[in-house]
Amino acid sequence: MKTTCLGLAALCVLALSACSEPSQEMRSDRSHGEPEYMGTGSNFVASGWTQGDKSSWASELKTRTQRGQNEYNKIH
Amino acid sequence: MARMKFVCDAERCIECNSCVTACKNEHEIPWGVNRRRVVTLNDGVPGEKSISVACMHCSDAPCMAVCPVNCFYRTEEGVVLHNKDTCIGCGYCSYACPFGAPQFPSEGAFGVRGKMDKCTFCSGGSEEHGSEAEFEKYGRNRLAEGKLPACAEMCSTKALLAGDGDVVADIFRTRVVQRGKGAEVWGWGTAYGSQQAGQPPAEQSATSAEGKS
Repeated sequence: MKTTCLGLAALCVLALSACSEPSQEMRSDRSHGEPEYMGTGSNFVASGWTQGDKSSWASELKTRTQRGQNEYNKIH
Repeated sequence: MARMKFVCDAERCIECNSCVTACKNEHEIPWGVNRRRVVTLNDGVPGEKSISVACMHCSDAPCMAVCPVNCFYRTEEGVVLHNKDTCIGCGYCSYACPFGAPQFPSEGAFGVRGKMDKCTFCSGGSEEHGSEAEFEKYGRNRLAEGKLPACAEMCSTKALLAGDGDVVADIFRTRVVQRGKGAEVWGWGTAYGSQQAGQPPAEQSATSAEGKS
């Protein structure tokens, strides 16, 4: 019974993995440097995120998009 | 996962060209090269519409497909970039691109046509982030600074939206719902082949007919 449950769980995980999105990256054989969330290392960056932290970078960009480009947030 | 996209709202664009100016200033683009342009359709005719056009960072980019030296690449964020060290300035990408994004400076390594230059979604290129070499070749890297493209951030009417595709689509959807427009919206007929495209709403046309009589 336990083995069947474990097998089913593994099957579910495998099935769910098909729902994930494949990477968009497409590169030739040359290296093209670090990803954007690694930052520039300078002090002239937007405040509110930590350089090198991908999730904080993505969250900062989302906040910036909503704050700067969605005026419905300001009037409602 | 972020998928960077541009959307231009034709109902809002007032052809002020601030996106073009912001881009040229931010990256110190040479004379004769325009990474972004404002295109006006039916110019001078009542109801004319303008849209701001640059590289759309296609998910299936034709420029990448035709490049003979394979200088294009797509970043983790879905931005289509190219390596100027590999580019030979052949111009194939220019023919392949449906948006006219690839630009060629008149001065360069190949006499009358230099290496291709295009919108980078303000994310620099294949050099160290924020370095002088990156700025010289590709312009400023705002994404690595946690900022959005200068053109969208400077847009006076917020017609040009840039950022993660999901967020941008949400903002645009909110606008469309607030406007309450349907098939009469500009571009609907092109996209969906509607018979009503370009026609005023039924209530509006009835009111204007009453006003005339």
